[in-house]
Amino acid sequence: MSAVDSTSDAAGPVLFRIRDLMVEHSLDSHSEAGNDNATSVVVLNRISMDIPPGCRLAILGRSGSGKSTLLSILSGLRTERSCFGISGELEFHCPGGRIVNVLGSERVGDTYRSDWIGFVLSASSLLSGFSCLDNLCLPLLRAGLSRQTSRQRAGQLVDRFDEMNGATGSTLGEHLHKLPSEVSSGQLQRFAILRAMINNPAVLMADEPFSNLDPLNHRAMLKMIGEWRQSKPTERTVILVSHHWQDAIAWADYVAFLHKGNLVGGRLLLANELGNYEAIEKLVTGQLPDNLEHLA
Amino acid sequence: MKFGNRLWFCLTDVFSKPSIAITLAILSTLLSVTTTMVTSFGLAFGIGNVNTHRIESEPLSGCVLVGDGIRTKQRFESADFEHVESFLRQKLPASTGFTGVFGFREVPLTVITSDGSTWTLYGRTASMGTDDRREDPVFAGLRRISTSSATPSADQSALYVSTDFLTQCGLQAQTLPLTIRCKVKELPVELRVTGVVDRLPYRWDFVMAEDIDRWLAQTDDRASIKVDQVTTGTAPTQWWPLLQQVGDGQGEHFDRFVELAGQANRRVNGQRFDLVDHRLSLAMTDAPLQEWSILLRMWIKGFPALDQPDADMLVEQFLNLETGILPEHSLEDDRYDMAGIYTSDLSLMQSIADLASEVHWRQSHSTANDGKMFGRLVERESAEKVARADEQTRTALKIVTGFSFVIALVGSIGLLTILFLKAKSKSSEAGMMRVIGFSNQSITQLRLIEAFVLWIPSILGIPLGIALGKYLSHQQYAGDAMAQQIGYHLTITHALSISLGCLVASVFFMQLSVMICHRSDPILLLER
Repeated sequence: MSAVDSTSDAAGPVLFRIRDLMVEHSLDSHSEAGNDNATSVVVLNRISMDIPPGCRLAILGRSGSGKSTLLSILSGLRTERSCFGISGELEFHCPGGRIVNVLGSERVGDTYRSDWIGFVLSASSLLSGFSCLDNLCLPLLRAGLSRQTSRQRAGQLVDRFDEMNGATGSTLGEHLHKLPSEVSSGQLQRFAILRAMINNPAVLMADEPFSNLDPLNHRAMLKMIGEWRQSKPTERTVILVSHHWQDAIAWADYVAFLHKGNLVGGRLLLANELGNYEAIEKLVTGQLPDNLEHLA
Repeated sequence: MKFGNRLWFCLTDVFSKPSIAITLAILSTLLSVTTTMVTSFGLAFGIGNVNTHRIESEPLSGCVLVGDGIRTKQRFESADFEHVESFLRQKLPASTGFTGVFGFREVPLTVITSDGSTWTLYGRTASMGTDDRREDPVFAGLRRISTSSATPSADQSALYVSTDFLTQCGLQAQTLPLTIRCKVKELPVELRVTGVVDRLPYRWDFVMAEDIDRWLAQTDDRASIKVDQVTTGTAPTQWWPLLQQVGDGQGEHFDRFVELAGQANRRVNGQRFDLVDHRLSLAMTDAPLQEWSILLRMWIKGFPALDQPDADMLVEQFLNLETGILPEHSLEDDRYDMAGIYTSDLSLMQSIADLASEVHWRQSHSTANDGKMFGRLVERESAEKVARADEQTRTALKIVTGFSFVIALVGSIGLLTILFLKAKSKSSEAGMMRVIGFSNQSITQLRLIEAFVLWIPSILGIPLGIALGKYLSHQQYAGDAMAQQIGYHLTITHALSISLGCLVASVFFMQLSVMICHRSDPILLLER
């Protein structure tokens, strides 16, 4: 397996085509770190890559490397170029063949996100005033379904999930009618992931969804996401931002490793070739592992 | 998102536990209920004072005075009054307090002197009804006052004077209250002039009658009523020398004046009106004639309706005293200077005044309306009650308005504080909703609906407050339709103001929330 060559059309189908994506934040003349001459800081520096459909992509990097910024742009939360200092191109190739230029307007971003994307935040992403069931229903309600239908579908999804997990503890179904404040953080996060999946999005994006979870829950979440994708492996793409590098690399097909806003290696890396600790260490220091040098 | 789902979303969001919105709803409801209830009840309390006085005491009485404008010629006869009375009885509802039409003659009543530049003097009395069996309510009041054993004091002597009178004295309404210092039978007396009454020129007749009666009752020394100062005013020069001569207390004019004045007094008042007779006799026999001169001069000046031709005619009559001719108008028993239309219901006075201007006052000249409105006479006790109730009403209104304002202010500050806190939490929620797939536009729409959902409790609270306030005020002041109607309208005004305030607060909340929502970058949520 080779790294995906984003600049080559011959590399196969593409879900996201990213070209020279740059995010630059303006600073005041009296900027931090005593650097009075700095007028801007580069968050993402000319990122170019192609993300294939149906893959599992882990975006890794140290804090401040631009992972969340990249994910927010991919998800359509940041779309307006002038507001966020974004330049470059981001195309989303819809399963139907249509191409959406995501970096258009806020309206384009909203439509794109609601139609194709499921998003999981870190903890506490459920609305506190609604029961867990109603939180699951929100994307369906937003899509125009009735409350009754939405609740039925949400209930079915939770039942399926509980069946999949077997009798390994309390089921989510027991907590459907509780408020978010009445359930544990692990259960909360499972509901959040289910909410992101309930609309059958083409892409599931998750930003450090396991940061507040214990290792068991962490693995269960990964498994849950994996099984969701596995049901339609060619249609469902998962993009995950995580601090748990080893777990993420073990789970992912591809890795986008960011370092100070730059994409290490200039392209996506094959996850199965980054499976050793030494390779990860090298990535942290900004070097490519030996076995990947030829890809640079 | 369907509208029903949006509404469900907002209702759930606003009223879910542990949302502070429930506190907000309760607070706004309580605010509305309390303020409107206080306003409603308070207004009814204030206005109800009128009713209270009306219920507690005998009915108030008043009189519309009508004359022909020419004082020295008696124009009305008893037959005229019967004709007018018949007309009014046809026009006025049978159940009203219309008492009847009485005739008036005008005579000098008394004099008040002062050591300052302020003088007031004149009086009017004498009344003959078309039916002697009926008691003149005004004089009933006078008799009651005259037999009062109350100890006079300066504080109790409150005078109302007209704007015209103040102007004559070179004073203005702004100088009130002013004190008139004078001596009555060598006793220093202070009168406090507390108010100005426009278009009620005869009201202070009774004040003076009461005060002087008290003074007279207080002392046995009837030797003299000492005058401290005499102002010349604008008395016609042609009779002033005569007054001076009479005032000296000597000579032919003096003797004749005393004689004629006594005759006039007896003829006019007879024995039916002891109070007036007593006072005038006293004045005639004991007072220096200088006071009589003042009395006459001020009598001329004191009538606001008296214009120069009338004054000249009066002077002419006075000059006739030399020759022993009494004024014509004081001699004929069945002719009157003025008519008083009495009613025990003050609210009728305007209707009576309107009708009085329509009726042909003199039967002998049915094509002409010779009735000239002089003003309205309110029986002293009634006037005091009305004035007191008015004052209490105004005070109550001020208190109620102030109290409502404070409640609304405190409540609004609390409301806005909570809304502000809620708006901040809402901005975080908006970020989460954007992550789910909601657009800024749809979030704004939801916030709009939410603002109106928050407004609903306030709207519901207002009619509840009005209902409670009305119930309490009706319990307290049942039967006073006027008070309740005014209170109702004012309460509605207050309630609408509160409602508007709540709406503004809700919209403010919505705007703040949306503003924060739009400015908040969802990436902040991602990077937490």
